[in-house]
Amino acid sequence: MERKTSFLTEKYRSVDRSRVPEIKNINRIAIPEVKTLELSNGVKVHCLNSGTQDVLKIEVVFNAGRPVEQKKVASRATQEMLKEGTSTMSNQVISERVDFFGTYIGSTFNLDSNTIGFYCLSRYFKDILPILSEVLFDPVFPEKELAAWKQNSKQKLKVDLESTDVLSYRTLTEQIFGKEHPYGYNSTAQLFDSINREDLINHYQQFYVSDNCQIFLTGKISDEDLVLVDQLIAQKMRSGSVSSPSLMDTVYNPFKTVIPVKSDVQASVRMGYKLFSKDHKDYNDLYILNNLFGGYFGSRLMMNIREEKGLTYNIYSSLDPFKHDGYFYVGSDTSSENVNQVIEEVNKEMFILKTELVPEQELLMLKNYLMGSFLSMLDGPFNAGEVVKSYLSDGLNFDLFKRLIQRVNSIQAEELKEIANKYLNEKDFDIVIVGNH
Amino acid sequence: MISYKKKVLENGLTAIVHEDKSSPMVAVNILYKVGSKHEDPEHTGFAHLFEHLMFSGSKHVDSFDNYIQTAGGENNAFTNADLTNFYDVVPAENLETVLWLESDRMLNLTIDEKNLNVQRKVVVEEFKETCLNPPYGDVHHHLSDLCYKKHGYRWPTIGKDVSHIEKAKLEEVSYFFNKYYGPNNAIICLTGNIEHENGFELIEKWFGDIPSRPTGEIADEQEPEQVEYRHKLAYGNAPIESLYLAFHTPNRVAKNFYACDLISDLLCNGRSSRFYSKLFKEQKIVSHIDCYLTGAVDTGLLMIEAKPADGYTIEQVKAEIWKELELIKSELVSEHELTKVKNKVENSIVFSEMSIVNKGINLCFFESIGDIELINSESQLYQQITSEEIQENAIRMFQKAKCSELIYRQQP
Repeated sequence: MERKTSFLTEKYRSVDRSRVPEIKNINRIAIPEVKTLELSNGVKVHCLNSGTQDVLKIEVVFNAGRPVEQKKVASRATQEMLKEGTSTMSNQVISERVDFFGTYIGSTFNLDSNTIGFYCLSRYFKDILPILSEVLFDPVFPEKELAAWKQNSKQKLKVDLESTDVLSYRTLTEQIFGKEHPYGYNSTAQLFDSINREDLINHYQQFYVSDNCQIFLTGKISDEDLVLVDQLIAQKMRSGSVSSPSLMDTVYNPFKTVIPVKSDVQASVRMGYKLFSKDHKDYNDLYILNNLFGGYFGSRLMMNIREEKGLTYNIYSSLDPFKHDGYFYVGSDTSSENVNQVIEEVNKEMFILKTELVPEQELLMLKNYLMGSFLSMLDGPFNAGEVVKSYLSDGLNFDLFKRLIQRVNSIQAEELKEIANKYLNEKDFDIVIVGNH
Repeated sequence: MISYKKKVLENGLTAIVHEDKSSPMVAVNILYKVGSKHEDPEHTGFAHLFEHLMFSGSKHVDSFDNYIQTAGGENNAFTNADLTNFYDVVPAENLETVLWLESDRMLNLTIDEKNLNVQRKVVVEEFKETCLNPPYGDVHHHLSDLCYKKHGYRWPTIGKDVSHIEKAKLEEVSYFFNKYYGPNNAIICLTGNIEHENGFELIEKWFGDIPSRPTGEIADEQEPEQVEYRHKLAYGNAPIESLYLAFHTPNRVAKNFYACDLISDLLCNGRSSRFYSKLFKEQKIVSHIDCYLTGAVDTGLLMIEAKPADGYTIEQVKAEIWKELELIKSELVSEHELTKVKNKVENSIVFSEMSIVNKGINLCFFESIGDIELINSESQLYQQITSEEIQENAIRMFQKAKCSELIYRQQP
């Protein structure tokens, strides 16, 4: 029942809102402990044993992405087709069995790696793991399902290509890395059509092997769970190794592309250029600078272009690191007549960061915001697991993340200005505008 | 199981505290019981515009966001047809900064022409980015208009038309603030690293002196029962022709709401669901199919959306969808299939409870619809639904005369 409280003595005493409560700096962050074990066949499993609920998540990650593929879209096709049937279970049977436990087998891909796994209430782990094992080690890639996959992929692409956002992103990455580069090429209807069952089998046999695999377990992990993972995943994995891919060099000539579209409502603007992966010596500094520039709500781009001038609903800069490369870009959607002004303002903000020191109060805000964001990123076992995975799956040491935290504490205004001078140069940026302009 | 404590302050503010020491953070969630359904039909989109204006500063605060960020926190907000919800997450040691900020804007928001002008422009850009520019962007405009004739759900939260936002005036802003943003029309919830007692003391300290503001009468329009089949053919940016079928569902606290939610799961939650396995995997006549409940507080919708695969027509897809709807009406769902969707519900409830922000949003939401204990009992309410109830609800809901159908086609 509701109970009206009455603090009679305090009723007439109002709080003095002109006195700002003291803000405490955050300088201590508990880093989760990752335990790495070697299972049968040399397969590594990274365990993050934490959390208060009886839940568990397993992800099996293969470095089977675009840099290694021998035919375009083979990596994605293989990963998406993995769940489409085994020699003893049709895709219907697989779905039916997994759905019953309230969950699903998730199969995702990014440019570098392919991941398959599930999360569940701990009590169902032993029931679902055998299904994952079969899906992973006995896929048949049925022709009929592949034909359907091609059709659906082409339809989705048709819808995507009507989005100025998608078009601008595709154009920018293609310009930055090149049309033939693993990180630069775009999927097309022709590419989907050209894939056949043998391509999937080849890709699967070469790259879904023990040396190319890492397992991530997060949540409440028991010894029995680990034994099961060893028996059903590690022991069944085919041994094999994959040699490191050599990526083609990209020839880089920044230029401006304008792609007109039918609609004149808004244009998508993207400006960016090629950078590097997380292990580059400047990555952590640039991570901090990127936030100051356009990485959070209080950033320069957001404050000026949205909150001061109202030119857009959203403007951001982003640092996208891949395993072998990376890139940096600014993005915004704005009414067609605002496009030039938005680009000018972005350039102006870069110039200010290169010529003026960030004021003390703003630097404090940036540092505290970042520290708080690290706390949030590590809050809860699954969140923390994502951070861990983002380093280890690229073959990087998790200490890089600890160094990032230290760097946020130690970086000075002068150093941010230096790094801005190195990386925020107008002449380096490709510009893509999709829309009437 | 989520344990919480609740109190109502003298000024009418409802306060909730839930302790979760596993997190280093505290989430402060404040729900104001106002959404787009409360708007004047000629001035739609206002509740959402107002949500933006809440960040423009208050008597002692020049920039809400700067303080939150300096305190190591993040914040965001959303508006829907029923409510407006703000949340802030900060490291526990800086909780008071957030309470100070939230209390200052609840007491004394300051908005001038410049703030209003900037946020009007930002929201117009948001309207364009979400509804006018992308493919299928205005489909919810068509659907709201088709499915509701009387209720304030007949326009989308972003607003019926861009012009409504462009003409918003300063005097409307202060009217809205006084009517809907008083403590008596709000619910605050602290979740995370905070003890109950301490939490209530801090809420009393920062919000106890804010006078309640009479809301006056708040219109409560009921949507009459639909008795005729409705059809609309709309043209827009539709790379692939799409079909939408909508049926009214009971309000959010009705027992039958849960049966209808399970019906939508039986039809299209997971790869073994009926629509997905038959229409997408087996017959391969659709390239996309989905079915979900809007979850509105008053009369909501069960929505079905589909895109025909290459070589199939809307009419063929529609016929197959109706076959499935007839099947769920005529044959009792098996115990196994029903257990499967109940397990899915249990799973999603457990996983949503992993985040202190979600817990805060949910506690406030359930309190706002009149029964906070639903946070723990809802799971059980789903488990109790029988095959017979599924069938009864399907029979009541899936009738031609209660169906709203939208076909969305490429502008020639």
